[in-house]
Amino acid sequence: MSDVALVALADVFRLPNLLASMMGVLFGLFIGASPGLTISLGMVLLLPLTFSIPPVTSFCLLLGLYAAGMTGGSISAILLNIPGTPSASATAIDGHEMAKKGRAGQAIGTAVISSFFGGMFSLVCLVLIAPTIAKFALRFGAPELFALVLLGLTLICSFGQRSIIKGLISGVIGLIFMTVGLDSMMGTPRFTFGYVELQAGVPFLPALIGLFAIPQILEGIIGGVQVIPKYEAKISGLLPRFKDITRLFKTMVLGASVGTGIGAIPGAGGPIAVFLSYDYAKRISKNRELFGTGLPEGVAAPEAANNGVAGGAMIPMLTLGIPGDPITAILLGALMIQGLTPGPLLFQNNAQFVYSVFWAFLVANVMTLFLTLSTIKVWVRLLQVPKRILLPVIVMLCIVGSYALHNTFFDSGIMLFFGLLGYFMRKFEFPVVPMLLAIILGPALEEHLRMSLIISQGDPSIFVKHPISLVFIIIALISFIGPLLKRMRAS
Amino acid sequence: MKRANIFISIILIVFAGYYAYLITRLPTRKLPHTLGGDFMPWVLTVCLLLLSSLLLLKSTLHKSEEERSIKVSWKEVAGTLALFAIMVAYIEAIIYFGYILVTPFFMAAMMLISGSRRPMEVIIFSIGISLAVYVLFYRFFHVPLPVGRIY
Repeated sequence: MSDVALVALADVFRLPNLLASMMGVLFGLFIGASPGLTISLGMVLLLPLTFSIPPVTSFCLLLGLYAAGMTGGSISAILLNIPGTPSASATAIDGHEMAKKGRAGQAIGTAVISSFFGGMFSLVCLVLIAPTIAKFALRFGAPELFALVLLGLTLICSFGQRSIIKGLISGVIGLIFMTVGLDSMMGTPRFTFGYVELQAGVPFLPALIGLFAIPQILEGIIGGVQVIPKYEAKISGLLPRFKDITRLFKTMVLGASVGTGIGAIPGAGGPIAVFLSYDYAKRISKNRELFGTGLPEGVAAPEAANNGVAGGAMIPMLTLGIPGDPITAILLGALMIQGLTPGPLLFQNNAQFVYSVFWAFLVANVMTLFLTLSTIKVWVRLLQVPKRILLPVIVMLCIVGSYALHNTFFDSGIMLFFGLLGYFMRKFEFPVVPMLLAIILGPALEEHLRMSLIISQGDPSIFVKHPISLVFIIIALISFIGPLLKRMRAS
Repeated sequence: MKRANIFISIILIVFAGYYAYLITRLPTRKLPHTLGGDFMPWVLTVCLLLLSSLLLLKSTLHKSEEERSIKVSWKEVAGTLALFAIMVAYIEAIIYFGYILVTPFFMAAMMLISGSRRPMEVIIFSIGISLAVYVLFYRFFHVPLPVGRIY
């Protein structure tokens, strides 16, 4: 092991960082287990706390939340048949059937062990693959980086599930917001309307909080607070026997591989991975007809997959600066808040930080395993925390958190503006994720485009003359046109 | 949904027009052989115009998927705007009175709107949570909380 990795290990094992991991895990379990609260929401609520703490501590906190949120989602899915997060949807199929038969403990135990396995599997892939990709990506110049960001943006198509046009409109509006501020080349103001606060651009953290948190809260308050049924039965037999674990090993490997692979493809995301792994597990099982009736394999596959997604999604995020899903987009924002530039240079200039992220993810997975198993009764009780208390707390945290970035209420105003926008976007079925991607990637797109054209003295053929850039542009075109053709064929 | 889409696409076309007007007022200074600061905004204007027109055309001509009705009631819109008004009022009040004095009242108001009906629950949680956030943010993480002109 290199010296840098050892120093990073020692850093992550410092008490403040371990405490941050633990806080992240506990908060993640709460968010994951609470139906209606998503991991993205939890992330944006924690982001304001990360300004004043070192980058490694903030990532211990956020990765703890990420890993535990994925696991926590299975608790309500199994006990109440209400998935805590979208990635726990497939777990409910067999998990709840097991709970109905009095095997809730076994189902939760299987979910937790499989989640741990999925997380560790994806971590190994991350450690093995990420440095190689980053090394290769160091060759990228401005044209390649422009083409790469363009590729990241074409993923917008895959987020516009109901309507590709609406997904694209959402992305274009996000890019329009990112043209606000000082022109990066000439230093002249653009669309700032005389506000000094807008010269640095639209602050993306308040925008994230507004887009993700406020619409959820408004829907919770106005749409009527969801009544969560009580789970009365006793939960026992959490720890699976060694024999059961070995029997599930093949399913867990399958789920973790599918999850890591899907996670590494930007835009695919957890819900796709869990249903795909559930389907594959069913196909290879000898008891395929028993799937859906309460089979541990039906819990192990999706749970290994959803935690596999976490590590997989971090591969493009750390190496190329392209987020794999909304959660990694927020993590990318967290990196930028700390003044770190995601992408290949992160591995070169901040290698110790990158290793710390690896270790922090390991600690997060181990803590999630032990804390979930040892405190399960608490989480079952917390399922009943009334939303009439929870939702006002979240609103207050959003306002105070957005203020904390620059100590100005201008940011809180921006947060409310994006909150209102996000609420109406949801109502009119415009996806918010393309806007989030555009807000994160927009400035880089324009900067690399203009930089490339300065290099080529205004000749746009620079993008096709560079082979790597050409490959990215071709893939971008395919990923843009592919879904359109698929839709046209389907209709 | 069909009517909602037509309405939205018209708003977007108008917005694209306004954005184009703003671009024409941008400074034209640029480096030789390269793009000015107005290039990207123009590209985005064209994209937005094209996409909104496409949505308008699709919503006007296409019949199949547009049968679903979108659930936007005036009561809901009014409720949303009222909640936003409370949030804006909270921000304005903090500017004068500071976080500590205003937050318990804001929390109490939001809890009542969210359906809390027990007075003790409202009092305990609104004060308790405001203080807990103060301790966690200000004392533990050293994240600044809003200070008002009075406190």
